[in-house]
Amino acid sequence: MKRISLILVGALFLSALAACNGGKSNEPARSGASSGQGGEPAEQVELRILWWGTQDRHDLTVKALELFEQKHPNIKVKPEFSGFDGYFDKLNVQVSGGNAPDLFQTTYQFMSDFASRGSLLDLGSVELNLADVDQGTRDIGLYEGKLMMLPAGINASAFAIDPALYEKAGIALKDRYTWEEFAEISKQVSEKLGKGSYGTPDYMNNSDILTYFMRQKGKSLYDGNALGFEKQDLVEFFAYWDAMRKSGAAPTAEMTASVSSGELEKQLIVTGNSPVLVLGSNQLGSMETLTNRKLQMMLWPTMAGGQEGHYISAGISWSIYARSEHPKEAALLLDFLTNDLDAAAILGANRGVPISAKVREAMASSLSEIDRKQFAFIDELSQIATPFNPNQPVGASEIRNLLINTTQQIQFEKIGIEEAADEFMSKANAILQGK
Amino acid sequence: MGNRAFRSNLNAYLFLLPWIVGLLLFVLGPLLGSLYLSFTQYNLGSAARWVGLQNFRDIIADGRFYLSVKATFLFVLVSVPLKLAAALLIAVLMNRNVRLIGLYRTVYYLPSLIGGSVAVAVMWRQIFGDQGVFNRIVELLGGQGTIWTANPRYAIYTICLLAVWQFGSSMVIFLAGLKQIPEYLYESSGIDGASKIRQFFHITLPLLSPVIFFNLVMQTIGAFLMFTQAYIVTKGGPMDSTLVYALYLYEQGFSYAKMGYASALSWVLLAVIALFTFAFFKTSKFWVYYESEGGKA
Repeated sequence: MKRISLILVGALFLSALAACNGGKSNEPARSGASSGQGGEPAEQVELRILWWGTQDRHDLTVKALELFEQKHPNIKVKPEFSGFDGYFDKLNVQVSGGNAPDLFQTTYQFMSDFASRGSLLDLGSVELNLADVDQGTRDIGLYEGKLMMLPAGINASAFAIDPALYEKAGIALKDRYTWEEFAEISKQVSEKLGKGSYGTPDYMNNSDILTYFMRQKGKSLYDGNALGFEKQDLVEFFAYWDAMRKSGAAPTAEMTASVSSGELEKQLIVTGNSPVLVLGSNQLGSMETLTNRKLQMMLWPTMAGGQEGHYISAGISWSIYARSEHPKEAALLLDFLTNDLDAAAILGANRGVPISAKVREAMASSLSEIDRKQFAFIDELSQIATPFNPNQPVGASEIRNLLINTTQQIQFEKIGIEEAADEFMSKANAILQGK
Repeated sequence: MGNRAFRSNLNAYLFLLPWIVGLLLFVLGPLLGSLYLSFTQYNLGSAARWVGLQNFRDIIADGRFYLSVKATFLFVLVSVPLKLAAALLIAVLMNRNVRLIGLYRTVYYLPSLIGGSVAVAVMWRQIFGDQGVFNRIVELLGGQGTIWTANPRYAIYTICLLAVWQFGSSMVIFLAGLKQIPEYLYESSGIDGASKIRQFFHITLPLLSPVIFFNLVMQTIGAFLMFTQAYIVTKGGPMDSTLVYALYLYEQGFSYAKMGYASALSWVLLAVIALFTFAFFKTSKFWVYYESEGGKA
């Protein structure tokens, strides 16, 4: 069974990915070279590496880095890490100051903003073994035809749910709901679990859910350098969540405003106040550690008469700083994190399903229970996922904040849905036109 | 100028040299740099392009600029008077000889040392959160609780309170000022039958007015520049109600890399602070009492 699931993962989601980016045929990086030996420095070199995550990721990564230092005695690695909240602020400041770490975690939602400022190194210019990485995965990191980031793992955004809480609310779980059904059960959870508990967080401000919703309507969040949807679509999206909040299925405006999406530790699911959380599939293990309860992944709701909106991508990628003094050694470390079997044995699938086919094969026999769940979910998802273009325009990170700001005005009932949608459309367009 | 005078001046200049170099390199240079950038469109990473007054025109049309101005003025107007009042009150209480007074002074100064830390921000969000102490008190008094840091009507006041709580440095300066007031004034007025309250308003306050003035100017400037508390407690939210000016400037400059626009914003701020400081100095002659000027108010 394990075998079969793995082969499915290998075959299915990678073909799905390849399909996602079928149009492009750039050869982004020198592949085929065997890893490493060219980059070994003659004298002592210190590398800095930066990532976000929760404590379990910090522990695993630090352990893997120690192994790297053993294998490369002339390279010392200085780890820097934090939670997601504030991570990109910090990185932005470091990049502006010209002292960003040599290697850092990033994600496709932010890549264009960094790449357009010339902060990312073209990974095609360093030695990196990508022989076991398929084209679709590599294409995720392309910016204007150059490989600016390499996915650390494949994942998909979906719901993480707490089945016990649903049971407590008297709900017999189905595999997947429609948006209407989801509204109903969420309301029921709020009512059954009492004050302070909610069926779902309010995801009116969540750009992943918005992306999914637009894809269900046959549109997209972005179409090249413009918005990929109309105002009316946004009004519909706002209206759904507005009703969720008003019915009590989703929390009050204050509650939503008091938790930022980047603070995994503070989400309602952790305190047992909601059975639902939007989560990257790779974070399931971290989340179980935080909640101390068994969780599972669930697909997002379907839309009556709509299309499949789910997609597979890479939640976490690595980039090398364009002004790194040691690009060769940074590439060596990136290669280690991508291809080294011993490193993979430590890191597991904490950043997503590994992108190297060889690594996946080697891991198959020793998957932890949580990683098995994750692989199985990606496997399930890959059978329904539709193509997704991860390349986002410059200004995407500002638009994420715009969505939060605009929806707060709806949540606090300062302006109506129509007005908010108008405001979002005009401001987002202004940002995209580079005003 | 004699050789001797030159030699002694030279020594002074040599001692000042690190500071002068620092001023030129790290203050004046960046200052002029940002003045230039404020007239350009400069997105980090790309070359600066001269756009004349465009940034300033954009500022006038920028809705969030006004929100940040509103939040900043609210913060300055609420936090500065409260902070000075708290500092003065505690300083008066601390200005006596009781056992362990040194310990008390230290304890009251502590918040100023730790107030900008993330730990305190977390604590603040806890205190004013849904399950926080503050809500318990409100509910005990029969009121309706809320999440104070996440409520657009109240969030800025929780930030004000956090700033007021850090009154330590003003307190220390007040304390030094209080020690300068001659004891015989209290003694003789006491013999004439003046009450403690009367003494405070007619002796302490007038003689302390130069120190109050100094604290007022410094705290006002500090309040205009406030960043840390808003950044770590509320991140400017909800609904930009705590988007103080420095935070907005930071967001434009560092989160969105619009350094030209951020520079223009910073020069507007500089002008506003200069204006306020100028106004304070102009009005000071009506209420600040300098003994050395022969007591002419």
